[in-house]
Order: sequence, then structure tokens, then C-alpha cells
Amino acid sequence: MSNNDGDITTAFLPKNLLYPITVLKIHVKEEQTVQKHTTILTYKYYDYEPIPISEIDDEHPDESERQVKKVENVGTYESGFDGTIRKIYTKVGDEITDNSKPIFDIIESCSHPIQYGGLCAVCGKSIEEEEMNKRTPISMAHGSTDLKVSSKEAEKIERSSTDRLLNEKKLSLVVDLDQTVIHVTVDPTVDEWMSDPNNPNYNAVKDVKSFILEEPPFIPFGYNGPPIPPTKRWYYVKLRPGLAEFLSKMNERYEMHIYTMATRQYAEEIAKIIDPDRIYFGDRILSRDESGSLTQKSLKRLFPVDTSMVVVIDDRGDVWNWSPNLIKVVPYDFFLGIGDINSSFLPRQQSLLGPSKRRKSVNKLEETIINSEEKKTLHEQSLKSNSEEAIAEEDEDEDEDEDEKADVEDNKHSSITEENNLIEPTINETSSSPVERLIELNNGEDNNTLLAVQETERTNTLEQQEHDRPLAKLQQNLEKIIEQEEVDIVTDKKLSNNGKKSDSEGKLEKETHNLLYDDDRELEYLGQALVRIHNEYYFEIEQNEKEHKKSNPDVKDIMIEMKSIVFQNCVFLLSSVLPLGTKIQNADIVIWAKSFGARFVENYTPEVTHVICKNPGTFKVRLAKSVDANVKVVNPDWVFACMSLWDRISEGPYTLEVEHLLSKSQVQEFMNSIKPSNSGVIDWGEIDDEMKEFMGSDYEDDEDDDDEEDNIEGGNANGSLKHDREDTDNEEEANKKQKTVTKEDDADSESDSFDEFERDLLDHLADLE
Amino acid sequence: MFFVKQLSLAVTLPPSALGGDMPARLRQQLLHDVEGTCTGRFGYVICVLNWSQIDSGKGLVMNNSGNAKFDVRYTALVWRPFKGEVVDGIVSSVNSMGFFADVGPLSIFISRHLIPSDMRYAPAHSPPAYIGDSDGQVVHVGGKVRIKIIGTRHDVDSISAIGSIKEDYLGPL
Repeated sequence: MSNNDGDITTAFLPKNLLYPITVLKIHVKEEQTVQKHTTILTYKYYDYEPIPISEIDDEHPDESERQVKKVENVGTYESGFDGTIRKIYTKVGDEITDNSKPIFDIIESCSHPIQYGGLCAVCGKSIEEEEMNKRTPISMAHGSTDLKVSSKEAEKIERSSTDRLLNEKKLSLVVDLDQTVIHVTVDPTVDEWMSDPNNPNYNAVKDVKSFILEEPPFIPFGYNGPPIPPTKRWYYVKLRPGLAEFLSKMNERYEMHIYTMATRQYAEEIAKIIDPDRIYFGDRILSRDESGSLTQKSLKRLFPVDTSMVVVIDDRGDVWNWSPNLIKVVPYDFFLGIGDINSSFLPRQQSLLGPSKRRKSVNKLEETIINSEEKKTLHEQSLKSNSEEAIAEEDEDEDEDEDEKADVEDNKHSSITEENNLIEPTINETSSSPVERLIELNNGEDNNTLLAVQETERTNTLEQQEHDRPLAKLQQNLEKIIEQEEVDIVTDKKLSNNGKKSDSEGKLEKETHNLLYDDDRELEYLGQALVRIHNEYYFEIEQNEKEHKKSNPDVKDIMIEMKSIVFQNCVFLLSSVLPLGTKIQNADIVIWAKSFGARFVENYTPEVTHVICKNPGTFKVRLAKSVDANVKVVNPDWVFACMSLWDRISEGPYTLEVEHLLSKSQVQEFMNSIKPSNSGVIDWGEIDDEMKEFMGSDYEDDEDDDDEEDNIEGGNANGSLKHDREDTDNEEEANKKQKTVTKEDDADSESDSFDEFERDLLDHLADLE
Repeated sequence: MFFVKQLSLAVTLPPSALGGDMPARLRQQLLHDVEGTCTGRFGYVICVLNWSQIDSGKGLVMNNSGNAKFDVRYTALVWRPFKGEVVDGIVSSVNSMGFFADVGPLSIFISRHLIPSDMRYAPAHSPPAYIGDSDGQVVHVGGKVRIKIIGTRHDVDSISAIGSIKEDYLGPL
């Protein structure tokens, strides 16, 4: 049964001996076959022992002051391996000072490369746990964690699978389930809609699949009551449109694996639905039960050595640590407001995850959801401490003020669409609490506790969903909104006979009352991108073969190359996209777009090429457009569309009209503020102050964090703006300086003076028109 | 290997069960508690043989709870895997490292080192399988295999085993 592959293992002394030791006797000879625990050598060492009490004088009765003396001890060293000794490096009389020197070489009869349930799967010998962890640390099977292999064996297995894939001209594709290829809810409303052909949502939900799972009850620690019956729960699964074609197309080019954070049972049920014949995924399903981590996914779990042929598709980048193998897809959000039922314990996805819904009213509804959630978080946070409460109230007051102002403005300029002002997402703070909780969870080292917490969390969320029926509520709200809109239109018509209205009116008439709408095309685009990656990879392999290069290409490099050209030379400025206080370098959309080659700045600089915003009325947008007329002001959907298609598409349909450009003098003011003097010495502190003051007057919902000025890329602000500089108006600069001074004087009434300043601006603008 | 083994178990019944149907309740409790369990020492308890005439002896009412404790002696059919034993099993899962086969209640792992070297892993095969190059033998999920057990490990309440099909007359049936 031996697997003698001639590998020589070198044995060292253990670390925890009392060095130095002197070898007294060597018990084995070279070429001798030894068993584990055979004594190899006997040695002597010195230790310090307290002198026995009988030998001490009575003068020092204190225990701690007892003297110690050096004693000579003898110890033995046993072989940790079975096998044949090849060479012994030590001889009698040697003094060994540490464990850095090898003692002997041994050819092991079995290196125990695979281990199952405490047994070596090659020789059948039982392996001690300690040794097991040392030798076979990697668990790479999909369905089981009992099976572990050594790194050498993992490499071998992987090499053979790489060869196989190369032969079949395939790559590996790791597929996430929830919100990537399917969307699942437990809301029983779906069932009612499915069985009612008259329901407005019937068409969208009629092909929803459902299954029932019996889940073992979660038993709290120390629970002594009657046994809790297992819960039965219906799941409603909506497949992402085009999934069947996607899978069959990918099957020709990729070997597909499922990697999900859901339970094994759930993953298998889903696999039964999306792959009934088990031809696409086979047994290659990895679920939470085997993942090893409850909050992170790792490619090392499936591909411990070589990830150069692996592509991952997932709707969340954070769980993969934004691995270079990852293609982040736009989350499939069919059941509105449900999210991912299997990751309720993870930090909630930040707002702005994907393109807005095509239909206005649904879009608006979604904003309401976000809005209310944020409000709720805010409320919770405000309960925590009084000081926080004060701030929150202030914020809310401000919001109200803004709303009022918006209304005033609306009356003034009726051309602004009603949509922008009706439900403005008043996002005040990031919902940081789940993140904190996650950190807490991570700190708790006990995985079982973590699992328990997670399970409770999940069960609670599901129960709540089952009970609250969020979809039914949403449908009601949607109908209200549509009604409201219809009323609005009528009133609008009465107020003004503006020709622009007719467009939106036409759209609204077509607007149906169904909440759920099947308009997702992500998989089609994703499929195209994956085919391109595959072609590129095997093209490079052919190329390498021609040039007789041995090395294989890496999909990571290919993907990075393909992605980075999409937004090459683009500098993005976000406005009213992220919640206030979000660090832009941590925002999903930023990390995501950066992988496509984009660069982001926090505040406007003249090198900005695209301003991404939902509402073109913010100060940032107007400033950008005023300074540089070539700046493209686009809806975030443009970014998502580009990232889905892996191509920079025309901005045309996504361009937003910017009204109320700033006056020339204001532009000039800005230019002065970023290029303050001709003296050549740039005082960044002063610029920061001025910028703060200037940008602080942003009248609406400039949601980016203005306090973080350190990223201003003003250093590159030269170049395109030279012509502006020529007509620098000294008077204006002087005026501005004065203003700054007055403002700094009464810092308390800062916001008031901002409001004044802003009102001035608005009046000025109105006059211009 | 199968054995008929005399075993005993302490069964506790609540006072509510101490009526006319006490022997039935006792039997029910016994079967529920032992059948299908595994002990490292005796192996798997397949079934209780003479369940209609088990010897429950005289019960003892425990003084702190009122429950009655019976020392039940019964005969059971047990199965214990041994190193070197040849068994037939059904393949339950196949992966790149080898495959698992169920032999009754026991799941045996056969690593790729102990599969004949002319059998190759073919994940594209549906279902995934090990396929022999020369003779076309196939090991796939649901298929039957003859395995020689080459190592067992007995823990208190579980047994794990390693098998081989790399010998004559072993492999897919």
C-alpha cells in the first residue's frame, strides 16, 4: 500500500527543548527502517531546580527567595515519521544549541497527502490531529470539509485539472446564486399573484419557481423547553432573464461552479431549478456549510494554488475583497426591496447598486424605500444619544427647509420636473451600524457563536418578510404614487400649458400598475464579456505556442486589460449619488468603476470629464458645466451600462440637461479660488478654506463629504484653464476675500449666511433668465 | 462483518408511561434509542433482533424525579467494518480527489491514489465519473463498487474508513 515517491523529509528537533543539549547516544543507523515513535537519540540537558528545603538554612524562609541550582537531566527524541532513515546529521557528543539544524533525513513510507476523517486516504493509517493540520491543511472538495489534502497534492490535482481544461478549451467560472442569477423571496404575496391572472404582476411572476425547505429550528443555548418543530418555509425563485441561454452558452466555454453564502439544502434546491439535468454544475456546489468563512468568499477554497484560469461572477464585490478574478455584476433586483435573503448578516449594500428602474414610478418607489430605511437608521441612531439626536433633528430641519425652498423654486421655475422635488432621497447618514456589527462578529473568534448569530439574524429577517409582506405594501404604495402623479399632471396642466409636459404625460399613460417588471438584460451582456475573455485567453495560448513560450496567460491580466480601457482617461465627479459622509474610496460604485479604469475626484477640478449625478441641479454639477462646457453630465445608469457592456457607450441618452449655469463672474471666482495667486507659492490650507466656504454654500443635497478636502487634485488643475486666467478680475477676488472674512467672524451663523449667499445666487440666476 | 451481540441499555420512562402499555413503551423507546446508532466499539447497530421479547427486568423508580429506570438487555445485529474486509457499496459522490461510497450507514472514501491508474477523472461526464481507459469501466454516482477497506478509525460515536479499488476483482460491478 505504500506510496513511495522518493521524497525525502528532513526532521528537526522540536522548538521547546531546553537548549543547549548534548547528544549522548544515537539509537538508529542509516538505512534502518523506523516506526513512528522509535527513539532516535538520547541527550542530556540542564535545568534549574529550586534547592530542596531540607538543604537550606532557616535564614531564608521566603519561598520566592529560594535559590535554584543547575541539574543535569536526560531526555529522548523520537521519530515523528514512519520510513527509512537516509542520513543522520549528528553524532555522539555534539552540542546542539537550537532547532535550526537538521537531525536526519528520512524517506517516508507514506506522506499522507490526503486525509479523510482522521485517516490517511492513501495508507489507511490513523493520523493524529496535530500532524493532520500540519500536513494536510487544504480543504478543496466542494461538498465536504472532512476531506483535506496537502499543498503538494492540491497542486497535483490542480495541475491535472488545468491540463484537462486546456484540452477541452475551457476556463473555470464561479457563479454566485442570490441576486446574480436568481432573486429569491419568501414573501407569500408572490404566491397569490402567481395564482391570479388578473393581477397586474401576473405576467412577471407567472414563471416564478417555488420550493419548500424544512429548516431545523435554531435552539438557543441552554434551551430546555419542549422540542421546537422544524420550520417549513416556501421560497419563491425568479430566474434572471436569459439564464438558460447564458448557462448553455457558458457551458461550452467554462466549467461552472456554484459558490453561495446560502445553506447546502438551499443551494441544492436552486441547482435543481436552474440545472435540472445537472449538466452545468454537476456536484460542483459550494455552500456556506463548507465555505469555512461566514462573511468572506475565497477562491483559495476551491483553487488553492492556481487562479489563473478562474473567473468569478458575483453581485457583491466586498465578500470577495474585490479579487481581480471577480466580475461584479449589477444585482438582480426583481422583487423590489427584498435584497439578498441569505446575506442579511452582511453589511447592507450601499445605496446605488445598479441602474435605476426604467419606469419612473417604480424608480420613485425605490427611492422611497431607501429614504425610509435611511430615516429608520437615523432614528435608531438618534435614540442612542442625545447629542446625536440633536444633530439628527437639525438635519431633518434642514431637510424641511430645503423642501420648502425647493417648493418655492418650483413655483418660480415651473420647467423643473415635479419628480425631482416630490420625493428627494434625504439621505443623511450612512447606515454604519451593520458594518460595525460585522466587525464585532469578526472579532468574536468562536465560529459557532457567529453561526448562531447569523442564523438567528437570517431567520428573523425571513420571518419578518413572510409576515410583513413587503411586496403587497409596495404594490399599494405604487398605486398611490401613480394616482398622485395623475393628479399632479392634471393640476400641472391647469397651472401651465408648458409643451414639455406632453412627453412625460405620454409615458405615464403607458405606465401600468404592476410593481414587478422583467427588464433585466445583464446576463446577455455578461455572457458576451465572458465569451470575449475566453476567446482572448485561448488566443493568447495559441500565440504563446507559436512563440514556443511555456507560460500560460492569466485571466486576471486579460480582464484587467479589457476592463481598463473602458473608462480610460475618464475623470469622474459624483454629485448627489452617495450618502453624505461616505468615503468615496470605499463606495462600491467607485471601486467598481475604478477597476474599469476610471479616476474619481471628490470635488470639482477642471480635469473632470464626466459628472455623474441623478439631479443636475446641484451646485457641483452647475459649476462643472459652467467651467467646462464639454463636461458630460450623465445619469449613473450610464456608468452601469458601460460596466455591463464592457464598452464606453455613447453618453447621449444618459445626458442630463443642466439648467442655470453659473454666471461668468462666479466661474471666475471659482477659478480664482483654485488658482489663488501668481506668486507661485500655493497655500493649500487657504485653498481648502476657500473651497470649503465656496462649496459649503451648495444649496441642495451635495451629498459628498465636503470635509475631506485632502484629495483635491488641484495640482493638475493647470492646462486647460489658461485662457480663463487671463481675464482675472482683481476686484472680484478682493470682494471674495472680504466675504470670507465676514463669514469667518460669525461662524455660528454660518449656515444662515450660506443661505443668504445662496439666495443671492438664485435671485441672480432668476434675473439672468 | 455482521455480529449478533448481547447489549444492554438504561431506559428511563416518565411516570405517565407506567401503565398497561409499559412494555410497549419500553420497546418503542429502546428501538428509537439504539437502532441506527453507531458506537466505535461495536460498530453500527443495524437492528434489535428479539424485540418482542426483550428482557427489561424490574424497573427502579428514581427518588428524585419519579421516572422509572430499566436496565434493558437485548440482542442486536451489529455491523463493524474491519481493515482488509471487502464490501460492496454505492457511490455517493465523485470529485477530483477520489470518490465516496456508502456501505450501509458507513461512508468510505477511496482516494485517487487507490484507484487504478488507468481510470481517469472525467468531470464533463454526466454525472461526473472515473472512467477506465482500456476496459471502459465507469465509477459514477449511483453506481455499485466493490471496495477493500484498508483503514478504519473508531471514535466514540463514529467510524470512518478508507477503501481501495486498486486490486484484482475490485472496482465497479
